[in-house]
Amino acid sequence: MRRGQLSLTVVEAAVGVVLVMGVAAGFTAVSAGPPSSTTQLDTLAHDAGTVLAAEPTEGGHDARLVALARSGESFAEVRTPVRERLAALLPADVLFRVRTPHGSFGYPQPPTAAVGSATMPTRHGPVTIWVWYG
Amino acid sequence: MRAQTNLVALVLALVLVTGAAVVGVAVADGALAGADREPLDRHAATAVADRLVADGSPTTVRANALDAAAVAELNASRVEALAPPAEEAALRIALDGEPVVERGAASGGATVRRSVVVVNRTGNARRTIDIADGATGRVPRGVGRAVVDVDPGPNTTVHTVRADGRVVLHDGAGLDTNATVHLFRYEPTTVRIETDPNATGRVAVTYPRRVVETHTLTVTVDA
Repeated sequence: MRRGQLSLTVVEAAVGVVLVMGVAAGFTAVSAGPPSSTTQLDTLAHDAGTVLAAEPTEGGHDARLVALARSGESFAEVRTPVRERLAALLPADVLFRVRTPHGSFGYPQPPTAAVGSATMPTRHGPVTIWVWYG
Repeated sequence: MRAQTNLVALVLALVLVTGAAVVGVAVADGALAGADREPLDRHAATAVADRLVADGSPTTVRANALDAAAVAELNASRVEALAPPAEEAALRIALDGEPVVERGAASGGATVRRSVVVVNRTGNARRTIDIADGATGRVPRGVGRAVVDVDPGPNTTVHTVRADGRVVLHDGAGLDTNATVHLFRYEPTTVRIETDPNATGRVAVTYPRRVVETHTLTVTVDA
């Protein structure tokens, strides 16, 4: 055996590593796709948005969702009722945050949890609802 | 000397292969844990929930608003007609934990939750206003039509009934009638009676009552 040549054992080990990693890569490739908890959360966010889009505000002509997006004043006026409405609508273990063109409200969003979202278009701009398991 | 070089290479090789095996098993375990174990159950539960709350479904008045009367009549065969994927599976549909449809014992399986409102349109609400000049009664928002029953007492002439200032009933000689009037449904309406001083009698306003309740719809399918 000449000097400088790679040991046969190390070459065999490298081949083995490539083989095992190849199988592991197969697992990650097959299980690609969003986890089911996010689709469930997306559905809940969409449900909440649909209900808000169909309900009028107290004493107003607009739907709650439209009132949130219309102007800063109407946002300030309806944010508290909408917050209560969302808390009643969503299951008790689900928390939410809402972003409108005029500001956000709700719970602070956790950095690591799986978060579902739904964006509802209105004629004054989009309203996004995020939900996650609290 | 040469044998010792081989020993170092062997140790290095063993460490490499063991490390790769550990990483591989960890990845495989993660993939197995994240995999959808019951794709058929989940698909069926999602399909049933989607079709129960869809706009235009026989069980709803609009998207995500269930009709209480239709929900009360719901049974397993109707759910199957609505969502064929749930055929021959154990099925449980509940509103806030209260079972609506139950077939078989759905212990495991997949559960889907939806946020819905339940609109109850049964029965009428009746507001009675004692007649006096300027007497008012309030009809809540969402009522498009109401029946106004004017029943004046003796020596009383009711000229006009207004809804939010708009004249809906008027007779200069005096009203004694039972009429359907149209109201603006997007705001609460104030019904106002215009009559003589010292008038007696009653005006009844009857309108369909709509009670909206918020619920969480839970659909569990266990095939």
